[in-house]
Amino acid sequence: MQTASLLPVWLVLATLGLTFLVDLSGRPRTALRVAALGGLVALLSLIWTPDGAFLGLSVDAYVRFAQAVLLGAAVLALLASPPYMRHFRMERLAGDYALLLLFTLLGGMLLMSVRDWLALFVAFELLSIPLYAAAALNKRSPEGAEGALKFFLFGSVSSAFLLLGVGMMTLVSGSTAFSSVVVREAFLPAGLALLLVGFGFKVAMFPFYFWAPDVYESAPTPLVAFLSVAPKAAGILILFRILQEVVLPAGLSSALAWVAFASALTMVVGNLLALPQTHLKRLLAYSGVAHIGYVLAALAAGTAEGAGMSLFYFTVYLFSNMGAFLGVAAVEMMGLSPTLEGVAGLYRRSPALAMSFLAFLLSLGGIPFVLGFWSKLFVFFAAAQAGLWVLVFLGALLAVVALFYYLNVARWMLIVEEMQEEPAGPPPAAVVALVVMAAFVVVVGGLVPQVLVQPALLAAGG
Amino acid sequence: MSFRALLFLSAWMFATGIFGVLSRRHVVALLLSIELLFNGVNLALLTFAWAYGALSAASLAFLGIAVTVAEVAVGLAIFLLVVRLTGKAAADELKQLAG
Repeated sequence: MQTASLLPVWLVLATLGLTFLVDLSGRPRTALRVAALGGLVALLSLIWTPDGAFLGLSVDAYVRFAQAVLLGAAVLALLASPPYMRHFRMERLAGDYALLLLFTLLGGMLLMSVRDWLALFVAFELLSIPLYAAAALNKRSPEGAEGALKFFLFGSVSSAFLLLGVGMMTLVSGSTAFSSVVVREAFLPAGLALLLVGFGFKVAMFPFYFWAPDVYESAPTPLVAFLSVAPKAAGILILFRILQEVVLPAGLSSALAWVAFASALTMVVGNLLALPQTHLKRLLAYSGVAHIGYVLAALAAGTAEGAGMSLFYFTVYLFSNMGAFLGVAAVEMMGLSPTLEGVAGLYRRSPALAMSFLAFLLSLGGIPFVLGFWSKLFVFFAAAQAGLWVLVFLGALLAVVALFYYLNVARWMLIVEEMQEEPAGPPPAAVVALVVMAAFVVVVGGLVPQVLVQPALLAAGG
Repeated sequence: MSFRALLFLSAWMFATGIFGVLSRRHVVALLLSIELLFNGVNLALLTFAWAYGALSAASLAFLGIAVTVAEVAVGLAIFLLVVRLTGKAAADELKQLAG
């Protein structure tokens, strides 16, 4: 049966319906739990999901791997949310939050499997629009509303570019399906450039990154954890698909040079802007921009190895970046401000949290031999194989720059004496447990990276 | 109208939309600029569809219109929230997140 290949999508859809009913019956907290459980079931169902094609959608190992990353991000965010929402008195909205997150997840999962331009546009919008509303979730925070407004304005402008780009791509081949047939060549460069702008906003690529720090700073932190991983992974991984199935067979290999250029600029700008940051969420936002630069280097290689390496990269990023953001959520719930001064002496308040944070920072910085080291190494390996030595050199140089701001955070947490006089609350057990689990994956995974690398390479067919 | 005239009109709408998003301060004007931007794109898609007989681009314009409605609905809701919380409707008076 062809529709069986969409099993996880059906499950998320069913979870959406169930969550809606539970929320309607006046139990928003239960709704959040139902959503997390449904996400877990959908994640498990990927094991038994066969290949197949259905309407404009098609599922293979690459799609399933990407969907697993998105589902993992959603489940982690949903699991960390109940204590966060209880602490910040947003429980009444927990049901709406769960629904918005599930809609976004559905859009992301569909986006991974599309082979049709119209479906691509609809899936992209399904991924984007609920996030604008979710960013404004805290209805008592003026900063939250403002950040959401900014997110919405830049997001919708980018959607207009994407719409035009998608339209041009359908004119290139004369059909709505992804195909390498070129009927009207004149539209190809313009269409591709517009697509890059549209996706560039979503993945926070240079020069479309400026919304990210404001939105990250003001939105609810568990949502930001999701936002910093899932839409970025979805955007980059679908760009790989488009590159491999449409652009390269159509003979526009100069597109790779543009991507390499964007990669270099994104790396440089992300790392340099992260240096002076003192607010942890802003720092992680700029570090996220830098990481998109690294993974674009694999995209610029345009090879199956590059695709496999970026699947691996996002799996690692899922644990290290979401772990770091959930750690920030825990810090906020302790009543500390998520700034360098606020986390001073965190080790004394909560050793588990501070040590997990150290693991995430080392992983994001790419220190041997935690998981992030391997992901960075393999991404640059893919770029080197394609002869992009300039990017490799630049990436290695900037990785050293990045160590300054990552290790600076670790220094404040572990070495500097605490500065905030008022007593901090106890660390929230549930969130800290999730954080420690993610740190465990980052550290132990660093010893046996092949467990993740080989499936990722196989999935990408490299 | 000729193909060129329609294309020129759509480009003009698109450019006005971009200019509006970059220069206007009132949030409602920003929302209108975004509408103009989308409608410029839709007109361009329909013009191409008409000139080349490509139905795919026309059906995309349909989807585009539906999506714009959904976006502006969410955008207006966020705008109302901002006005209720801050009492301001001009984007440059919203300075909480500067930097």
